[in-house]
Amino acid sequence: MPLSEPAAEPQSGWRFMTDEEAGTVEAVTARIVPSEPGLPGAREAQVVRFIDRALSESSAELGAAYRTGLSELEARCQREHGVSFAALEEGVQDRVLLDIDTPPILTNPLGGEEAIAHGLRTFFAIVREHTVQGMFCDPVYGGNHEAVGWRLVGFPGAQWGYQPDQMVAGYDSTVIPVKTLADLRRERPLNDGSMPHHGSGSDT
Amino acid sequence: MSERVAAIVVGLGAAGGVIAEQLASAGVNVLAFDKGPMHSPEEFRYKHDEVRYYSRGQLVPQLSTDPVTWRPNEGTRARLLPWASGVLGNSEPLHLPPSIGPGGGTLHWGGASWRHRESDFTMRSTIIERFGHDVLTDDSTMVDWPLHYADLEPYYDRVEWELGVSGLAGNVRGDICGHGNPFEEPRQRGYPMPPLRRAAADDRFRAACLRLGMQPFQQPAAIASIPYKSLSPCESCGFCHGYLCHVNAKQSSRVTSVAAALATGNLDIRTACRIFRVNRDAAEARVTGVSYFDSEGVAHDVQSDLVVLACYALENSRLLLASEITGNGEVGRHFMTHSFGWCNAVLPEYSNPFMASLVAASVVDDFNGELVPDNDDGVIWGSVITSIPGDLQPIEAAHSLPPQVPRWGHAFKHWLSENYRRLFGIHNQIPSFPSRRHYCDLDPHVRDRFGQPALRITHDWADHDVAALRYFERVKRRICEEMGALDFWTEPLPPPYHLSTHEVGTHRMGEDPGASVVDVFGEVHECRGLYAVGGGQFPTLSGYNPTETLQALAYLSADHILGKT
Repeated sequence: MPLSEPAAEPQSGWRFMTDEEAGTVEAVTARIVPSEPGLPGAREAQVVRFIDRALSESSAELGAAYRTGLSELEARCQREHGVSFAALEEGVQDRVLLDIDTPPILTNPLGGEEAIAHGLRTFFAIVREHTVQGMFCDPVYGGNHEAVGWRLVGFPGAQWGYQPDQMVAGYDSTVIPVKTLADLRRERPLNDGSMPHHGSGSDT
Repeated sequence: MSERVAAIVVGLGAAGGVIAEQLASAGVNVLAFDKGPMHSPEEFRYKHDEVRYYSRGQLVPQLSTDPVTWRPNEGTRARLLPWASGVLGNSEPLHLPPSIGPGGGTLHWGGASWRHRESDFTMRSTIIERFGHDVLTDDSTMVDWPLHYADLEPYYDRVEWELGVSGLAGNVRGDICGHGNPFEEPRQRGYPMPPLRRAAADDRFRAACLRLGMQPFQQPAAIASIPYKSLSPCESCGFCHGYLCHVNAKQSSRVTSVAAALATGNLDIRTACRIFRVNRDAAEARVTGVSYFDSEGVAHDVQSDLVVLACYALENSRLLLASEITGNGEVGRHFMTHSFGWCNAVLPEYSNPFMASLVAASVVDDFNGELVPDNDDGVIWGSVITSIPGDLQPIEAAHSLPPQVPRWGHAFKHWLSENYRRLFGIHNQIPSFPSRRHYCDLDPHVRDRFGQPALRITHDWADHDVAALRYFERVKRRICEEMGALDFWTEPLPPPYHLSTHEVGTHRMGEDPGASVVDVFGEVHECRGLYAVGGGQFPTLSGYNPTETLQALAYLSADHILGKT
């Protein structure tokens, strides 16, 4: 997996999903971390962008799992409610997902071939895991847009370090300016002469 | 025409790095192999990336290329590590084989740096003297070590001063110093560096332990607090355990031993190469070299009279077995690991658990090893208890929720928003006991893409593991209550994982070639010139992190190879 580069993200257009798939995924993520006035959620963090990029870089198996899960979710909503998931009222969306997530998968999605066999429940567990990653990733991955995820929990992000006066009980970390990997690359570029020696050695 | 070299070292982690450096510094030309890449300055500097290193386990071998299977017992078919594999690929990098690439596990380790006490070298005798023979179960293969603390003390000193450890001594030549471990064995001198700065909640932990009558002290750490040799002082960035170090504060063999060895000009490293066989002479009594696949998958042979296997207890054992070196059936046996009994708490005030390293923390040793008090739980050997005040990022926190918090929705979001900054952790290093039931071998069905047999682990948590986890959960809960915790919860008991990065024992050392694989120097009894070093040498596992003992043994092995002992 290559290092993520801080490239500009296209404003429209998806790397892997169709517009319709992205709409459904975004709606699901918005139930996992909902939006509220003053407390942003997965929509503001653009978690759907993180997921789209992750799918474009991951295995064919994962992409297929998403496609299958999305079409099964849509089929269920059409069958039971006559409309797509994204068109449902939030409370109804929550009931659909609760129904799918019973009993909840609390730890890793099931391994190997069992994962596919458990269909929608595993699909939702994967989307939930991706949503957590997309909320709190470095923004270079496409999610945690403008660090809204980090700000939600009070995490200052990618910091070079902390000072003794900050490392005391009760200190309010939200006064620390949030930094991302892009900030770190700008502040201490490679070849600035300060790079500690690691020992040369070449890959074969 | 086969290539010939003076010495081959396979794996440049904690043990391999030390041996490669000692040989290279003595003028021996060393050819070292590592399965992973030479991590770049860019990777080191911008390592603050939880998705890359925690979610995607970028440093550790992926199960898709390095399959490992597990079963709880012989009645079950082994499958790819179920707690770590899923449609998203590897997860939970702590519960997989450790990082690859020069540096190995020391690229990402937390750096908890412990000496054994004498009882850790005489676990069997100590237990039998206290409890009698009957306390060990029928399947037990517990033995004493073939050396004592006094034999290893000069080598512990070398690890601490040649590689670098920060801390405060507890016992210098019999003088109890007051700020270090009151239970440690006498040492000839203190540490070369003072202790690290700790994250905020650690003081609350210390105060609570003191009120409970315990004797907390700061854990010795393989992390620099001041400039020391090739190390620069820690900046307390909080992306520590599981991550590369951006300032070379973390004592990784990559920046200590490997860098020093490369500077001699006598070390040649081939990365992205995997050894698949150890070769022997016709009588199968002497090593003659190794065979490996290069990064294109092309097989090569290299000849040498000296081969050091240092690619982790498990991979060492797999390679020995794949080479039909069985140690009279001992190779792969006596598999041991740690359970951590990971607990979390919410504190009344901000703890800011993302500041500082995991290992910059206080510990309580009052219940370790034979110090565990008489109890009704059947616990006959204890463990250190460690505060975890730092090194916690949000994605990992979202994986460690209390059982009553929903995993999605408004309540999930609010809980994280309100409590992330108040989190605190506390855990143990509970050792499993060696047993006939627990071992690793070659999976009869699963192969990697080169056709090499996968490692198969047969292990389940035993009664003593469960008893110790329950006993220590009560102790940790009491400490957290005394700290004023608003909530306290623990990981599932017994844990769903069976790898901890502290696997040991699977090519045990001993004096009797009929009952061990290597001697005290790590030389394989049945194959002269072949060494298998690292945690695999340990006859038993202690209630401490194993790495400093492993590094000390590596210095001992190097001295032996160079004819100094």
